Amino acid sequence: MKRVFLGISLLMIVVLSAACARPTATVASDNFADALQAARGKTVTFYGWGGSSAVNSWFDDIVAPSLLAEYGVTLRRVPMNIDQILNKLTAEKQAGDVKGDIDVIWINGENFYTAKQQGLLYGPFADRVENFTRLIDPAASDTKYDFGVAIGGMSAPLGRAQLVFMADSARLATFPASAEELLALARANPGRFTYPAPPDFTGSAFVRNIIYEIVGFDAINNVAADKDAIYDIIKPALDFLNELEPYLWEAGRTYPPDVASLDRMFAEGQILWAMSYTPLQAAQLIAKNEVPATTQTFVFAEGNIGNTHYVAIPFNSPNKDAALALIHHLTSVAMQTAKLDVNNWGDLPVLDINRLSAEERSVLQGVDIGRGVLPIDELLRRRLPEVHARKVAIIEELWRERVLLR
Amino acid sequence: MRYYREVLGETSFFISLLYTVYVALVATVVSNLLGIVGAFAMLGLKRESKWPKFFYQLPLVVPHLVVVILVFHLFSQTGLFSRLAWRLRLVAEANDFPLLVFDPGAVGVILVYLYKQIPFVSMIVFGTLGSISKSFAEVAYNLGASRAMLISQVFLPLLRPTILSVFLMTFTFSFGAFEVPFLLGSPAWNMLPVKAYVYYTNVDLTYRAQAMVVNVMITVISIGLVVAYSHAAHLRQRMGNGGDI
Repeated sequence: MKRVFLGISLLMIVVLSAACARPTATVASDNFADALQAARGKTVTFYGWGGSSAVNSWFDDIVAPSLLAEYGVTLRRVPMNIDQILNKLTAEKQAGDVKGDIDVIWINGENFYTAKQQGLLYGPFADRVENFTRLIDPAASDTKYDFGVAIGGMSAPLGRAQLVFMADSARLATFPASAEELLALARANPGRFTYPAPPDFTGSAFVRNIIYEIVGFDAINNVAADKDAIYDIIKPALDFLNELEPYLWEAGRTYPPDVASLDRMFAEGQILWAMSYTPLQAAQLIAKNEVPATTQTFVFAEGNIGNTHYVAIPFNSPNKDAALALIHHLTSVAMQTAKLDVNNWGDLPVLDINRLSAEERSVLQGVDIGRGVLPIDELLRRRLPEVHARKVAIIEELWRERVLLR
Repeated sequence: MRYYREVLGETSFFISLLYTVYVALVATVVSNLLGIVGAFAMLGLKRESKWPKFFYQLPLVVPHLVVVILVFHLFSQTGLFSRLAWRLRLVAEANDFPLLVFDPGAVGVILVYLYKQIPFVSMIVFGTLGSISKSFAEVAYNLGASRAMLISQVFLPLLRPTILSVFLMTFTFSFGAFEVPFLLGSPAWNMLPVKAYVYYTNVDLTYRAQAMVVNVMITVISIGLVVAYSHAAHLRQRMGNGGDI
């Protein structure tokens, strides 16, 4: 009896280990046309942040139906935060469970760095997506780097965000075009300017933007991700923020805790400016009548920080052909145009305007981006890359120690 | 262990700890004082009065998270009171109104704790007051005690264990609660639970260890308070038995 039991156990171990080792992860077809052919009739599962109803409805009401109509691929969207997605993929990787259920994920920055480092991504695949090779500038810094991390075709850009400032032209005659002008303006209007306290995402981006203004992007980009080294480099910028502090709201003793508070203070007329990492937000706020129609967006002359968000394919995607079809569709002129529309999402396109046909260009440029915003080409011209995600956390820490708690 | 040394070696941890103690202590002392006064005031009401019940149930019906929003709308610089002050020409503009939420003094946070804790304190104290035999009051009056003497010489000593335990309970709550300081606290001054959260949500995952250290410290301090509380409860029981003649 005992022997039989042992035999069954052994048999099970053999079966199970065989099951573990099975190479079920599909490989995408080499030829893009074959991939589209293979994808037909399949379902592609997209996992990504689901916290914005505008973004969700862009996926559900615009991307999904057109994807089905054009490529016969059904889109299944699962809202999940990226840290949980990466936890899930890490667990699957460790378990050796090769077949997963996620085909495309929405990712950037530190999370992309982690996913690439841990081998959670499939690829390089970007070169096999037709719209990527045809419409996206391979030399653009955000095609090559995501928050300072080399991409190497492991993800494809989906959209662009950028830090912008907003002010009411009826209350503020001249907009500051540089950090120095901001300081002069704050001096002239004490208590009328402030920024959200990092680690608020937007406030943190503003602090980095000031660093770019004072010491330049290259200086901070080239320094090692080490606290002391970064402090040495950014000290002039922190000194500048300290110089600005007494002229800020509440004399800089405290800062708004988040960008929502800043928005509200601006809408209530307490302060003269607001900022956003959604470059077309002024149009949305004006349309909702939350801010005066004379509100205008502006950026510094030297440019403002921007970042790009991407889509990638997990290592264990069950349906890589369908994943390629979805990414091809997401980077199409039609989808990028729909995404730009403020009524849908209001997110900047990733396409290279010079690579579009005259007809495609007029479609993209025909989108009404609303009132009070900067034209897309001006935003892209005044766009500075992000620094490595590790440095972001260190800068936030230094700001807290050297500016907030000084 | 390395992380413990790292976190406990930082002055910012102790500043945070002292600040947390400050907020919790102010909230607790004020809520206990007002709660005890409230309990005595209710003693004076008729037994069938509905007011005490309403007062106790208020924090149950309107949860303190809702009150967070209420406090924000009433006390912020563009809130109702600020607008009222502006109407009455007490302030020239919104920025002149004193900062009562997101402020270093944590006024907004403390106000919410008061709302939650005063009814709780009065309820417990009132309960004990009710169980104290009426005959004490009669004996004291008989011996010529004034009302003030009755309260200070008879009731307060009998209530001391109750007050001590209620004090510890409310202190522990204010000390360990996260949501109120997270929503209404100043970004410059983090209470410990918020500090743990800031560590935890750092993009650099290695900071999670620090978050855990802060959490463990909060737990250790809270458990210490609970032990103190059980001692106080023990004391109360003994006193209670002694009191029921």
